[in-house]
Amino acid sequence: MIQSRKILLLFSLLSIFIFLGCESLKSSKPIMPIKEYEKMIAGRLDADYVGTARCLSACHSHDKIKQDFNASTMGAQLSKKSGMPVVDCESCHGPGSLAIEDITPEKVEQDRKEGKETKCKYETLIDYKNLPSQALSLICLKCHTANATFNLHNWNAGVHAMNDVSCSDCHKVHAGVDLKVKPRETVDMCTKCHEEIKAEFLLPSHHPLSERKVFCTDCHDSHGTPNEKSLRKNTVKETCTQCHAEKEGPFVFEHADNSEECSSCHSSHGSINNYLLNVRVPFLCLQCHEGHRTGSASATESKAAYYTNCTDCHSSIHGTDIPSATRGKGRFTQ
Amino acid sequence: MKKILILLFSVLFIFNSSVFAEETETTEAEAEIYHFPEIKPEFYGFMGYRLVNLSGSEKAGEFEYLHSSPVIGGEIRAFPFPHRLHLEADVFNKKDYFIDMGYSYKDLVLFRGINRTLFHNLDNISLIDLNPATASPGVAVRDRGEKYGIEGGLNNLFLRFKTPDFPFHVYLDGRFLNKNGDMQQRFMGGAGYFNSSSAAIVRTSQKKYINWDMKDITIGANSHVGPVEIDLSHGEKRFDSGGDRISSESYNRACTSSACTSVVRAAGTYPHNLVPDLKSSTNTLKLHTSYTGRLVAAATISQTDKKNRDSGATADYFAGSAEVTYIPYNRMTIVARYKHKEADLENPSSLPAGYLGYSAYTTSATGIRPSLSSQTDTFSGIVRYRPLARLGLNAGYTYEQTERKNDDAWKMTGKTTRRDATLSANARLTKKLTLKAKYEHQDIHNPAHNTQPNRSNYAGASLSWAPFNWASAMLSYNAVKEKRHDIHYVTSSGTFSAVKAENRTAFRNRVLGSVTFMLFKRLSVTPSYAYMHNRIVQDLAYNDTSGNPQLDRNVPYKDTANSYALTLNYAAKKNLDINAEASQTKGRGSFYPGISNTTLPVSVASFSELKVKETVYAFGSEYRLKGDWAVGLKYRYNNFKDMIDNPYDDAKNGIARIILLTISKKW
Repeated sequence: MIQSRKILLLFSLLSIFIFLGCESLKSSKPIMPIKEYEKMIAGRLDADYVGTARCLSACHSHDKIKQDFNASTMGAQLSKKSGMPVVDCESCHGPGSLAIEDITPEKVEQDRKEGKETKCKYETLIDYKNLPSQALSLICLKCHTANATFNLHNWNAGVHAMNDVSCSDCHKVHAGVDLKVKPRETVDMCTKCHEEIKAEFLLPSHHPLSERKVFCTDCHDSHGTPNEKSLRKNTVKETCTQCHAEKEGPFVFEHADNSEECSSCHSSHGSINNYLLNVRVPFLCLQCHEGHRTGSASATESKAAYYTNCTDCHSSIHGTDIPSATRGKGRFTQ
Repeated sequence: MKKILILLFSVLFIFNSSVFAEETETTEAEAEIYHFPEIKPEFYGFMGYRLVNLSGSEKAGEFEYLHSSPVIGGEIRAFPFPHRLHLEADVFNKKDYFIDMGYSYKDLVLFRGINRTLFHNLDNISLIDLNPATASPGVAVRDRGEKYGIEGGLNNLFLRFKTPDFPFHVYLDGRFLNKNGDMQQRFMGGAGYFNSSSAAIVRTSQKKYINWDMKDITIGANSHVGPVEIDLSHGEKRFDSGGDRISSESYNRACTSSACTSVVRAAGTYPHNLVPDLKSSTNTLKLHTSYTGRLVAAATISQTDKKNRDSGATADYFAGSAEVTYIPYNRMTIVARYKHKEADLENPSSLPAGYLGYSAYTTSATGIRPSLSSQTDTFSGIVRYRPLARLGLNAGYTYEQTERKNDDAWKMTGKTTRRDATLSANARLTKKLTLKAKYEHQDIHNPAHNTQPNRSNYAGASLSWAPFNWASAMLSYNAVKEKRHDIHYVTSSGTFSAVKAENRTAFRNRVLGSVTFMLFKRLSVTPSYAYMHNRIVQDLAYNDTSGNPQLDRNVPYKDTANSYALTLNYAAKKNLDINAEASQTKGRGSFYPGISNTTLPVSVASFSELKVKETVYAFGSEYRLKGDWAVGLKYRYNNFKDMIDNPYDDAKNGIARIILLTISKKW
């Protein structure tokens, strides 16, 4: 039941954002001071755009890259006005006239005969190697800001953008036709930086990430989210129940609000304890709950029953709709 | 809300239609014909055989379908422009395969489908009765020797339509999950607490067949709306529980004395371990301004209704977040974020007679504790400052307040506040040496659970060093220390009173190190080591046979993992690649109670002590032949060893050997 105040909140936020959007457009400035920005992002201002075909007509060392690019989503977009691809080499590398200055097909042919490679003046193109990470990302964002790319919705405030990670750290534009990282390769990509996480997946109980059956991106959105740990979903529970839907509830008997926070008991990446438990049962449960009947003289037998696996009896620990035998008690035994 | 969504979708559509119509008129005459280049399709295919040998527990190959089988797979990429196609499939057996397919038409239609099917071997935990002559506590094992495992198939489908030359998208995002197979169901059986407060409690295990289906489908649209971009979506999720969705047991009433009537039920058949059918729907609205402006704002609002279709329990969730990024100048970024979350859970206050179709429920069950609802507001701010090209500094502060409803019924705190401050640095000390460091301090007032600290401090640092072209190294250490005072326990005596104990401390630390050597041009070797340690010290509470609480002061718990690995990559020849990996992970954990009630005649900790070792050897090689043919060999040896061989625990010895032989061809 959504209350009317939430609708009010929704429209208030809409109004604020339209206002902010107007302000942002009016005052929208590049991320760097204008001169520095133009040099970094737009390339040499004294150079002209010459077109990909002219850039590469004499030189074939980029043929594979060009072919992959043509086959990609970016290459497949044609401009309504020119009928030519919207995005080409110079869209990212800057105008290329200075780079191919003095290079003619004859010179290339002559060099080839002499066994030499004709080199462009790369230094006149955008200097990728020395761009700060935010500027690197801006090269992509200058197009992706205007085409409703909602997977970048939280990019600017996201943990990667704030820690000097840029688009090209993950997306290899020249690696093939598909700029997306293949799902089964995400583990290698992410754990290059997140080495501690990689170690956690070596533990005896783990999600099958190393086995490439689940992917980092199933739970986390590397482009940023407003949620903790860049989770795709609003809460840990919503994230986990994408696959463990049977535990989602709601139930008549909930495990207090622990059922909203799976990480109260589970380490999602890995654990030495079975079922990814944070600490070993029964200590896990004894942290909050009183243990049973330790004073019994019969001791050994009842201790074995009560202190091996709490979930032998409390088997519906994630929540249940069935009351335990003692009326009205939700002890998760049924 | 649905009306609002329909209205907004219509506005988006009408708005976009007018823009599209206008653009079409002006550009049709001017358009040139662009010929997409001809790109030859690429094909890759392989087939082979996967040999599996298992001895002992399936834990050694937990996520493998442990049966030998032929394998087949390949990849196709074709570009008959303006169509683009991609298909990749690896089929290892009928319960373990991966399919990734994509299709797009210009930039107007985009489809992506990914299927993952895997087999998860599950435990059959042996319940042990130390003294079968005693009725209670007893054991009933109805599934001795059963092998358990579940096939899980997850399909992700994404379909997006875009209008020509204007970013108006309509999309469908679907997630479909099926799990089926057999698993163990353990539960508390016996007549204890049912028919007689003095009758037996029998821990019972039996086989349960499951066939669960989950469908989560979201439809949405997004586009420009004036100076902002807007995305609206509606999602429907259904969980259907098939198979043995509910179990039942019959009980005879034994106790008829007046002392029993308040806790003892009538004779009859009662259900247990229901897996209910669930449904939920979610509406989401996203708004953002230009990503490249000096001031960037983004907001997300979502509202979810959930319902349990068996019991009628409901839950409503609302989450709203807004963040603003401001870049006053090129060395500084400021982020301010606000998030509001509400969880409003409503469970029935009583269960009707004949509940779930079981006539044994002759009168309604009442006295159900109302579910905990909560509302959380989080304010956070981050400042990123880069004083030097080689140094980046981040500082963050978070204030969070959680208010709970029905907290009295749960003996929980009604209001918890959390303050968190973080400082981090990323420094390139020299060209070849990089340091990352982070410190975080957290204060929590009135934490809700014993496991939440009042105060925690985290510190971590990692060094990356590449002194030579042929060597690089990484070393990292982090530790977190948590302190909690005034923990309390909810007693199990039925009176639901709290037992106050004292302090709790927790300490976790991690050490990681690795060195990579490029020994020759084609050979790299990486030894690595990881150490993970958790230690908790806290008071524990137990009741005695009279139900009186007994406190055991400062009980330590420890678990430790040591992991060693060595990986090797060798391109022996231009047409031969070899990679190999050896790793061993040792883990152990236990706790150490002190009072005699818990240690005599045996320690309560002795039934759960863990000491395991997992050793993995993996080898892979591919030899490329003439004509783009290749042969491949992969071998994996996984030895899981229960070092204590504790019959009570859930760890069992097992060795799995898997050999994969393939022949492949590229076209």
